[in-house]
Amino acid sequence: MSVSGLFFIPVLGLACFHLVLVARGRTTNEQVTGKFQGGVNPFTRGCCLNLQSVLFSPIMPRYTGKLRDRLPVCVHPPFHHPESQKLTPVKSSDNCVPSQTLPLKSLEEVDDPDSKSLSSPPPLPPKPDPVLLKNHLAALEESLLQSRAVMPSGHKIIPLQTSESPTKVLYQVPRDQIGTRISPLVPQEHASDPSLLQSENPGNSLTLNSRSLSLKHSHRRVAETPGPHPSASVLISRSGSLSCDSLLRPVERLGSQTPFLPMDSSLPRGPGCNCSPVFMNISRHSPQHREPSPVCYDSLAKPLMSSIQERREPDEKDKPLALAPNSGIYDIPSRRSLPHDFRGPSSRGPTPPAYGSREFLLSSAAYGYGCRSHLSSSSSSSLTRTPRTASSPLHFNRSLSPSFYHSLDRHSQQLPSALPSSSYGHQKALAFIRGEERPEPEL
Amino acid sequence: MATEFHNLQELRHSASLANKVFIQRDYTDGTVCKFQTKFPSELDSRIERTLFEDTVKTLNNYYAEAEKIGGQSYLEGCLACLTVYLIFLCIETRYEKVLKKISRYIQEQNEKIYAPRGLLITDPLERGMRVIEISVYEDRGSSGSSSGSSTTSSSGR
Repeated sequence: MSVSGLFFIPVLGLACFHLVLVARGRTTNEQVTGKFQGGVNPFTRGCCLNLQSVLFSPIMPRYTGKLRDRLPVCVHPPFHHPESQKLTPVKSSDNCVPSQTLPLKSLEEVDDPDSKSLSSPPPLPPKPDPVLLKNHLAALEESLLQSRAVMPSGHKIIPLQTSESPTKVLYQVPRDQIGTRISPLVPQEHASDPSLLQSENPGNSLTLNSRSLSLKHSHRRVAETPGPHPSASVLISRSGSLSCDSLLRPVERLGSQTPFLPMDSSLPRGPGCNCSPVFMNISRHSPQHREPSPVCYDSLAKPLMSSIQERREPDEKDKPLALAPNSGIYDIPSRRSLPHDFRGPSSRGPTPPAYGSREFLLSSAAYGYGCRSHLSSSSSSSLTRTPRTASSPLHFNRSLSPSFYHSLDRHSQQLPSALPSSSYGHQKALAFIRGEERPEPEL
Repeated sequence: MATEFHNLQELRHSASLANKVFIQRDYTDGTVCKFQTKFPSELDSRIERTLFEDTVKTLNNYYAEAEKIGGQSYLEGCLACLTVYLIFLCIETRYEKVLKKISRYIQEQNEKIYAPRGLLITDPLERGMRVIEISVYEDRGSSGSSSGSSTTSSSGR
């Protein structure tokens, strides 16, 4: 009797241990290797939410054997192109889709005869209808709240500043029915970040600008009216989500380019506000940095920054090669990372993390190198140790890769004044370390 | 692993696979299934930006709806636990229903929007929910010419 009771002790012990793990939002590996002893776990969303997500998550089905009953889709030319031909109208989708695509009309007003029109009102007269604008504004507010519920209070500036511009964009939609003009138009009005707009304006039509400016005053009046009204038509809600999403796209674009950054930037703030440090850093640094690396590098010394950028260049060159095979996406981490060198400060796992897994996200997040998401693994895994070496560039960690040494040394030699000790001592230290790693000097 | 079947081989007298564009996951909101809405530069001349973003946003909304934690997911979990998962022989989970909706939506988008532009969207389900794969086709004339850097994504599994 007591013997069988003894069997329950380890069972109860394990049960309690796993309850604690679930409540803290950690995996066993993370607990055992002590990954979060010093920092904050970025994957936790609070005790209650953690428990809820573990216990009440929907059961995800298996993916095999469900895809054979699909009708083939024929692809044959001639193909439509956005600039060369007129814009083809888009038919509305079936009833199960909550948001429908807009019907697009060409500039020359050539309509496709079989385009199904939505239940939208006919083209409005030139004078703006204040009721319609009110509904647009309400729908925009709703969709803004829905789509960006995560955005913290510190960054309400962005939606507020452009709260007027989307209304005029919304107004453009039913009038002009030109979908492609909306998105370039919005960034033009977005005055706070001109650098974000460089790649957003491929070929704008300037004819809409004057119209938008004339509507601005009327929209301002409308924007001040209080109280959201429930949006009625599909068109209004659709255009609301369309323009607010296109609005937020300049910010989203960079936000999605650095998917790992919020996990790191939110470390001092807690897991609640994910977005604001990301956007702040990005908006502060995007004019300075070039396009592929809008990441905050404040904490690093200049030689390290330049070495990081230099290291990125082979990554960028590899990018078109690496992206061509789909399996290449998953081969990149194993190809470029150095398993024997990959030792985080607290982890003892010998294998590099798989792309997209928690360990991978964690390793790149914890060190704040949110590179381009599709190629972040290689550079971030190699750069995981740079913050440790930032404070003392002379005391190189032996586990750094030799190529990192070279780029660092090259820049260190170019900027000897940046180092705290004398140049002779620096070169001596470099030679000493390098002598242990490689026989040939490169001074 | 199920392979996608597009009736291209029979009609390849003038269209051939030239490139594949991958839309990666967006992890800014955590580990939920969400794809980046950033417009890839390879599609710049093929499709309008708004159409593409509509598609991706709708897909993101569908996935968010599928992964929503609520009463129904709780009930399904409890029922599954009590019946030792035998209940799934009889009923379909909400996630599966949404996956079917997504599949229908993608099929319809392909037929109406993407195929006329020489593009085809692959259901991310077929790629393990890792990427949205968009196959770009070129007008090559006769079928004798070789296509561009066509890749086999199935080898990645």
